[in-house]
Amino acid sequence: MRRVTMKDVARRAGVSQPTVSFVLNDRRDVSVAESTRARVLKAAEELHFQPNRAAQSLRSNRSFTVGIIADRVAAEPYAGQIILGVQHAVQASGYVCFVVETSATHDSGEAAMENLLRQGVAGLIYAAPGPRPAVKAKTDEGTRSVFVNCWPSDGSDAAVVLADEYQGERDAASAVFDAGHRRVVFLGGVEGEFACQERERGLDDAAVDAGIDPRSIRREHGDYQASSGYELALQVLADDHPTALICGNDRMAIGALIAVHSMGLSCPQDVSIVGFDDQPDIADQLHPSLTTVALPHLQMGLEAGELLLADDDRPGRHLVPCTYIPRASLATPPA
Amino acid sequence: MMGWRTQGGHLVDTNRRRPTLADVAKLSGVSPSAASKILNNRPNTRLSADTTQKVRAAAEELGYRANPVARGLRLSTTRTIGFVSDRVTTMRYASGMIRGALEAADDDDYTVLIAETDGQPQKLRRAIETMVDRRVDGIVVGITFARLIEAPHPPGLPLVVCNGRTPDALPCVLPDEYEAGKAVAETLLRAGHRHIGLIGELPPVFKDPRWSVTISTRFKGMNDALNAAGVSPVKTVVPEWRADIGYENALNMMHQHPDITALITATDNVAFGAYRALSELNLKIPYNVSVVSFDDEELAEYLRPGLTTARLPYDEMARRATRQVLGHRPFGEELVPMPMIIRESVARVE
Repeated sequence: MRRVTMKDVARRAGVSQPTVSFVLNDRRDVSVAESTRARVLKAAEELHFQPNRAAQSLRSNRSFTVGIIADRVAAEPYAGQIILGVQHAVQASGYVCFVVETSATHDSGEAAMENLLRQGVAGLIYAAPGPRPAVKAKTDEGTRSVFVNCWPSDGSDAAVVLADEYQGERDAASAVFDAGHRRVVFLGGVEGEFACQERERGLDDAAVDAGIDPRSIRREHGDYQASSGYELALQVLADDHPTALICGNDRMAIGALIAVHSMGLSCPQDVSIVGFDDQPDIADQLHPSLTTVALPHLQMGLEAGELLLADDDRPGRHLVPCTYIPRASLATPPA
Repeated sequence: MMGWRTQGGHLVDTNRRRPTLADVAKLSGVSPSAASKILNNRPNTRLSADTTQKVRAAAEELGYRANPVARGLRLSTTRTIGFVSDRVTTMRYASGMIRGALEAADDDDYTVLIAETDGQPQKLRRAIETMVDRRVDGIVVGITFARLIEAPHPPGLPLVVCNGRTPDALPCVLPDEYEAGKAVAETLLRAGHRHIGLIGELPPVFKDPRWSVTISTRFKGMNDALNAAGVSPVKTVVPEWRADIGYENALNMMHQHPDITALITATDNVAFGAYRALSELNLKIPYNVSVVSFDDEELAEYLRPGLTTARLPYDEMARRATRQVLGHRPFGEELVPMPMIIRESVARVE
């Protein structure tokens, strides 16, 4: 039989999960109305709630934990702001975040997840650097889980927080067309993957809005690495003389920028370049600074943290808007 | 923090040092990794029955428990290392540390629990306390930019600072910036360069250990090597290490000192800007001007021609810090060499 969790007590008492935690851990530093306190204690008794091992150590007011299961988010440099966002969302309620990184281990983090869960967590957040399926911990039965930048690989119902990749690319591509560009090439990421599909859909709709046939736009696909942006840009610049390159991410845009320079061309005078991601300390520091779309990692983390601590389950897709960031690498096409 | 805490209704002395794998290895006269394999029942270790017997006897004698459940019950351990960082997972620079810590822990069948503290001392303290509550077996404190920090040290628990130092001199692992500074300068000297520009010095960072405990030695190593060769470089002082500042400084420097044949840039960010300036001046790297730098961060890979740079070995530093915690290396301050990553940005001059 499934262990009775604080979530069950919260539901029964009609209060939030943090409130249950505060009451059951007797945290007198947090003010909870006496009537609420009584309701929580009654619900806990009726459900035969048993605090687990970690819950017992909660009396020290310390082990108030949210677990983040990160697949390359902690060990790779791209989406760490998600972790920061989760932290900001849950720390007000007195939680500490513990991150388990599943890459670079022989068992894909299974032992680490088990260790984390064995001592009890208030909830779990699964996070990935780019939208993709995530494998759930085997032992997370009954723990509330939220997925950010990923979704459960078993197709189960869950709250899923994603960036609105479609809207981000539509905004960026519209800016390119509005600037007057017609010879535009799309240097996308991995073809067929969720992010790339969504962004191409955004590109198509922006083209239609601008009165351009989307099928007339040349598309090449790379692997999100700078080198693929470099190689693809060298090729299309030689073939087609485009005036604008819309790139799959900032790294490919940097590769394209280096290709433009190496051909003796200037950006944005000869060729405009647009990225995607707004990588901190990179996109804004290039010469010229990179026009791009900011992936809202911090906001996605905040949203995931709030969903995790919300009073009720809110399964389904939660889209966080992307922000178009105009900088210097997009200008009007050469006359 | 007190030396006693309750566990299952009993008081446990947290000051008593627990027997480590290193103790077992020492007593039985085998390497720690061999002892680890035996005590964790790893298959196909190709270790003799005699060795296996010796290691088990030593473990028994010392009261060492390798079984996670038994350890959890008898010695209140969880086979978990805590990694507490200021911004290692949330900023891009030092994320290699997480990989290094994970790999070193994984080698011993330990798992890693990571906590971020956003550079706030209060959160650092709380994260360490929470780790102690969760009965981690040791803690690595990872710092993004090597600086002086204060970290509480829970008694009886191994704690090592990775890429930082504490006023009370806790065990720590740092990059060997002095040797890297020398190696960078010598790379140019060996290639025959005598007219060298240096972008740029950042005096406030040199003086204040809360900003950096290592950067001043990066420059000292460089200056010592150049002085020894009788070369005095053209130097600039900069307000920050950014690409646009590298761009402006390189442009000015090449205008004022057209005889310069090589640039040393303080970081890869600065090199990125210098590359742009040199290309605008129609100076080809490395045929007209060589460039050499420090960090080997993400940007260095993107540059064409590839940038020769001294790598900050975040993964190796964390690996060593974790191995200190696990008892495979003696506790203390350890300097990790910064490997020179040789790419295509340095050429010989006659």
